[in-house]
Amino acid sequence: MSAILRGVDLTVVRGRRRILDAATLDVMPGAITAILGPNGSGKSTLLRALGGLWRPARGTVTLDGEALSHLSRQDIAQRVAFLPQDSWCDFAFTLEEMVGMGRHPHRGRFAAAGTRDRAAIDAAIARCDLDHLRGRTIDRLSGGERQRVAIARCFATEPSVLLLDEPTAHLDVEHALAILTLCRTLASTGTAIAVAMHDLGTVVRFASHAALLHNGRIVASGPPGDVLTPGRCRQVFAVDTEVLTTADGRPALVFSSPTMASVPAPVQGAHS
Amino acid sequence: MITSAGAAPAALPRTSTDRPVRERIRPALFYSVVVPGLFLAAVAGVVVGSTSLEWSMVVQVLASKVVPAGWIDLGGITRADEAIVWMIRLPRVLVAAIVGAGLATAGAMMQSLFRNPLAEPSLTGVGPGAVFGAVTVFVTGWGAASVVALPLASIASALLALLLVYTIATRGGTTPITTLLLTGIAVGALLTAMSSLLISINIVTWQAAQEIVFWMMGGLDSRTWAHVWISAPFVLVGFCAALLQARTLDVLLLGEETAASLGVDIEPAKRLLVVTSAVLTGASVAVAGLVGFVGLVVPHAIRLLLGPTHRTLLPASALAGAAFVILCDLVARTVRPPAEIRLGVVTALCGAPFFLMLLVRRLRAEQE
Repeated sequence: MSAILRGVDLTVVRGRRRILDAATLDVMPGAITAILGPNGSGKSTLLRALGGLWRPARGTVTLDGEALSHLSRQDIAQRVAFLPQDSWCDFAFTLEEMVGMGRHPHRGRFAAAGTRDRAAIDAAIARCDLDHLRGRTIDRLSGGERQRVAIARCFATEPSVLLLDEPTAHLDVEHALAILTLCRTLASTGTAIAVAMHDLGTVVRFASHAALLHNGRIVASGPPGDVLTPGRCRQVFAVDTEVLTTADGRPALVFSSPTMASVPAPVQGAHS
Repeated sequence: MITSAGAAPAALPRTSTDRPVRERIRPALFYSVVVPGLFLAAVAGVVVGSTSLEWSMVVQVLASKVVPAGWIDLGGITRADEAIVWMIRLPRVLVAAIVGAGLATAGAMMQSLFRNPLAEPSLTGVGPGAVFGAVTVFVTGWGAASVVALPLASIASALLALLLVYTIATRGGTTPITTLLLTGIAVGALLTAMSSLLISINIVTWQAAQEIVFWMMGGLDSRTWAHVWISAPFVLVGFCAALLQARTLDVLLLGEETAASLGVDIEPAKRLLVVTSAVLTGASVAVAGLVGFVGLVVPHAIRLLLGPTHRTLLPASALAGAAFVILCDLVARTVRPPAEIRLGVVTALCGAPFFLMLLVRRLRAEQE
């Protein structure tokens, strides 16, 4: 299958710093591509460049074979949904209004929401399991619910590409896995998903592809298990990695810091 | 006027709170109260004043102007009464309505653009710009030449101030919203200082000084049809332009990056919004002087009642703002007749406590 969103030789410069350096990445339909790397390695920048939000100094991004620079903002927005790290809003929209904003790129300036829009909004709300909160204003939601609303907004756009910047940050494990399951459901319907993530252990189990960034360069890409070798984890994250195999036969990663061994472990059972 | 309210909450609640859902009022209910309320306020604004008039007479005179001549018998109504209604009170009420609608709409736009419910319309230097234009007219005496010199200079100066602010705040084609805010405050402070300088080196008589100071406090005394015709087109065009941007404003509340990802061309959209709001504010300040708190409090209150969606918020704020200023002006000229309290004083006396109440509520909510 060929890539729907293709970033070639992307270089982004801010001030004097080269925060993305000749990065090349294909985002395939039906695949979940994890973008990995330490803080400040350029994950968010790569996502923004892929979504056409930041114009690269060099390189091109093509969507279905057309260069993003030749497409209007609205054209891109109809096909590529983007979830930034912080998409919070202090204003008390209802959940339904909030999800409805995902239809913005499809609606004319005056057009009221049509049946197509309504159907997309309903489907997104149902898929994210938010039906019971429909009429609630978003300031009355928990962190996990808010993130689900933000994801539902992206779903409502009915994009062919979904770009997510750390969608599970600040979420507890239950809600984090719920979000990732949603991504999987969406990928199974042919949507291309690229997601920046910190939780390497989860990535190995959940993504189909991975790209590892280090100082703005992609140092490895491919199946997550092949990308996250102990050698690369040591080089990029400065941690030791042990690869275990879980009961279902899939790899699981355990990390430790080389300096940790020199510090005595806390005494177990000290409080008993 | 900005607080840290725009910042994202640091800690998110783990589960939904059980507090009851804040009920919104149905827009239909809101309009069925506010539209007749506005009409009543307008008629009251014409009826009540230093010369007391009969309701029936006022309605008769107003009706006679809108239906073909001869339909309504004006027998028994003196020319003087008719003049008070048509030449003095009505234009004043109309200017009040225009100013209220303009400021409230502009305030709603600025609060959304800055993603801060405590922003106000003159933030981008427009208010101090309009004052500077007006003061220039006062001290040069151009005002004597024509009644329209003052408002026109004021509008022009407001838009020039905005142009200056926007030019300074823009680098490489982008205008970061916080830079815009800070530049607006700095240029505003500079223009206010220049206005004060002009006043202090040019005061000839205390009479002139009083005129300027009173103008700066906001007021609608001796406003005429000329003021209606100067401000109405700007506010009408500005309001329509605001409505055209209603959904862009909704999406901008999610932050610029999200808005861009939803198809908004951010920089052109921001420019259009800022210019629209400046036109509304400039035209309002030009005919009424500085009338504070309308643009801050009215949209804020409407948002609490009807929610933040701009397709509802903008027209509702305009109507409520119009009614609010008409009523404040009514208070301003009836509390201590025949003298008048300044309109800006009345709106501040009503608005500031409301604003404080909102702040306290907000603090309390954050502590919960």
